[in-house]
Amino acid sequence: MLFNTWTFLVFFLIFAAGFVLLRRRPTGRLVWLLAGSYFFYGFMDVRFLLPLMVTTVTDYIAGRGIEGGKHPKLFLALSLVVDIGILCTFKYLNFFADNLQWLIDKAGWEWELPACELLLPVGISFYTFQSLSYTLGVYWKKNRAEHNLLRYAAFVAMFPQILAGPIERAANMLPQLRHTPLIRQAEINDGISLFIAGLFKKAVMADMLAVYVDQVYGDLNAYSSLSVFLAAFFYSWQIYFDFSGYSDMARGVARMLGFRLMLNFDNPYTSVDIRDFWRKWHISLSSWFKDHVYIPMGGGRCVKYRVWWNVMVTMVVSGFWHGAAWNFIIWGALNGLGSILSPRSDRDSWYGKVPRLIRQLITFLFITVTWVFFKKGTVPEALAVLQRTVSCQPGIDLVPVIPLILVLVIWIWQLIYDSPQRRILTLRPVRLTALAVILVLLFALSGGSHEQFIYFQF
Amino acid sequence: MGKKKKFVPAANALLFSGRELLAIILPVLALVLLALPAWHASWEKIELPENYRLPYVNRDNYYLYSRCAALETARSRYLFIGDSAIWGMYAGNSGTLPARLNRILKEKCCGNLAIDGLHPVAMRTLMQSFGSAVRGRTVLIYFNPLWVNSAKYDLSADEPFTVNHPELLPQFDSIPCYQAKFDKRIGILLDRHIRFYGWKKHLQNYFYQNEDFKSYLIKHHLSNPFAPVRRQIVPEEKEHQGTDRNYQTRGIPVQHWEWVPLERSRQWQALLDTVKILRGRGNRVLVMVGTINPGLLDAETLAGLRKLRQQAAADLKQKGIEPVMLPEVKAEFYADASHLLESGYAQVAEFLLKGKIICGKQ
Repeated sequence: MLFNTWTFLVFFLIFAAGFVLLRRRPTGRLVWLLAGSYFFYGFMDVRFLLPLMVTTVTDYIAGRGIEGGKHPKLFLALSLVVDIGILCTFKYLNFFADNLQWLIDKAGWEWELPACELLLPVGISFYTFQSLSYTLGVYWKKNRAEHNLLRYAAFVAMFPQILAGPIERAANMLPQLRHTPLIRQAEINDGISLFIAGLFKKAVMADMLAVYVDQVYGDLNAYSSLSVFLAAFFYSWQIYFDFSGYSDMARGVARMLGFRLMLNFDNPYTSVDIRDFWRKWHISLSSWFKDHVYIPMGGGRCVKYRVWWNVMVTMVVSGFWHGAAWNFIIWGALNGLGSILSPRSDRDSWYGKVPRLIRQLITFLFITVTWVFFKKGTVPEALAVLQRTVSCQPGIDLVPVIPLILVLVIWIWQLIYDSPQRRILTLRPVRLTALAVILVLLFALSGGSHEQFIYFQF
Repeated sequence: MGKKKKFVPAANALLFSGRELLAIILPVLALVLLALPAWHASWEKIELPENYRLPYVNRDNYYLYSRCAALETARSRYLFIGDSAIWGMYAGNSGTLPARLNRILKEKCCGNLAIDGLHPVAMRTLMQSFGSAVRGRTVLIYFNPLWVNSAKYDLSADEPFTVNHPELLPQFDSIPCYQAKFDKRIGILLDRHIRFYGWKKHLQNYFYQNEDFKSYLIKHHLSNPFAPVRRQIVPEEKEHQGTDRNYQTRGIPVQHWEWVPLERSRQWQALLDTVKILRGRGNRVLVMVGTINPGLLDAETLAGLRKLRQQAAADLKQKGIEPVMLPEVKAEFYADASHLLESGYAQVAEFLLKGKIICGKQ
């Protein structure tokens, strides 16, 4: 079920009514939340529920075992093996099999690995990481084990964020699930505001830019270098609007139910360097990797080369999390390299003295190049895009003025928001005008074919 | 235990109070959903051609249909409603049945409100939701037996089937062969009942070649996006110019059909409902019981058709509805199974005039 559909609206109205009615009945509310979440998730394919339930029950038992048992490591291992095992089976099995087959072929052995077609459950990477963070958190004593299976299941499956995050932490969500959620006018207002912003990003901006990107990337050689450059530029924004739009809607929906989900995007294209970008892009995932991979490896408190290694490993694993393909691994590695090589933006460093806007543009340009690898299925294809961009090739010049203006206005808005002039945007006439424009554009441009959310595939 | 991080509600300064939301959402809704379509309806000038029929390319543009139906009702005493057999699939604009009647009577008294592919179930919704302007007239509904020639066309079969005019089907009435997703069904209901959506679809269909506005902005990158919209529009059919080629030139084999009994037919029930709707608006309603090309039916099917037609007439009479039994037209006047050539329409026109079903002012 997608947030930008009428089906979701009907579901949410029914769900919210029941949720409010059950506010004073904690168990009934949890049952309702879990039932609603399973319905929401199983609506796409009921078979998706099985791995979700296995992960939930395993980690619930593991959490209890880690906290109260004599063999915490054993229970942690159980959680890791089951969670990563399920994830690898559904998501990475074919990748490993394909690469193994390639090696077998290269070695000249006549051995054909059996083909295995498995349906990838939507959002499996998200809920697996969320659940895994719980058991790791119990093991590292960052959060307590949850004794109520119902509550734990609701935490893993909570419908606003199960499909594409934010990847919540047990320390943030479980306490919220223990108390009666506060649903006041302010929560509803904030929720509606977030949902409108998210819907605009997805249904208007991301879907509109997708038309351009698909058209140009679909027939690369027909288009001029300018058009190919614009396609790369628009893809950067498409993926931002798509994913942050989903996150905004998820947070808005949760907020209307009285839950507070973490901020997942903090205007990442205003970043001044690559490290800054990763503090602002998909915050719930990058902080997950920081907490569960980077810091346990030693983080930044090691010798320089070891820190570089830590960064590279973290970023490559992050790339691999996104998809079982080499282009994602290369995308991760490029970001790792960028993080290592980009000069520091501290005030006393030479790069810190470069005008902020220039640093922001350089960072955006670098990220745009990495997105080309993310978008294109293979490295040669990605290189072909980059080559065409810089080689001043003639071809069809497609410069969609109105979408470009809309993107630039949003970018300028974010740059102002990120600057000391932020208060301009908080002026009521500015905000209300923005809301009116967003609503009019939503009515005028939304609808038609619903593009699937890009991050659902992960 | 983990330290609590500060909750950041949003990173865009776009959080609004309830008053602010209402102060903007309500006026925008009023503007977009009510004022804009109303203003455009009064601004847009539709000029109906002499021999109007809803253009083939606009056959799903029910907003345009409703506006044209209002104009046609204002100038015609007799209105013909039906599928392509009345619309005139193999006839030019001046060769359709209503156009021929007008020509013979030397006055504009017959209007063509048929649409290609309009089966009775769709017709019922069309009249219910988009035919409110059809009032105080003599309406002739064409019953094409083709729609009851099998459980499939009667929409009572179980296997999925691409139905004509899915947007006019009842969305939550169990039609087993119609298997649209829940989301699409709700979208269709909104399109049908909220004028803005119908209007938006009209703009897309009539001026933007059915292109999504987002795609249009991308593909026509340097042009003014409002440029295609014109004030004066003349909905004229340009594709179908008429033909003399009858069914024999098309190599259609002889057919055997299992007619659906009318008492079990979904399409027949919908037709009777349509009559009720139109009568409720002060119209005199006649049902023309149509024919099928006898040259294309095997003997058993033809006998079944004759029986079915008699049953239809009897059922109509029993329900107090005036049946008009159209004559069996010879096979050579058919372009295919149910579509007449212009020469075939001439015979039907003569029949209607002779039987004084259609009368001139004198």
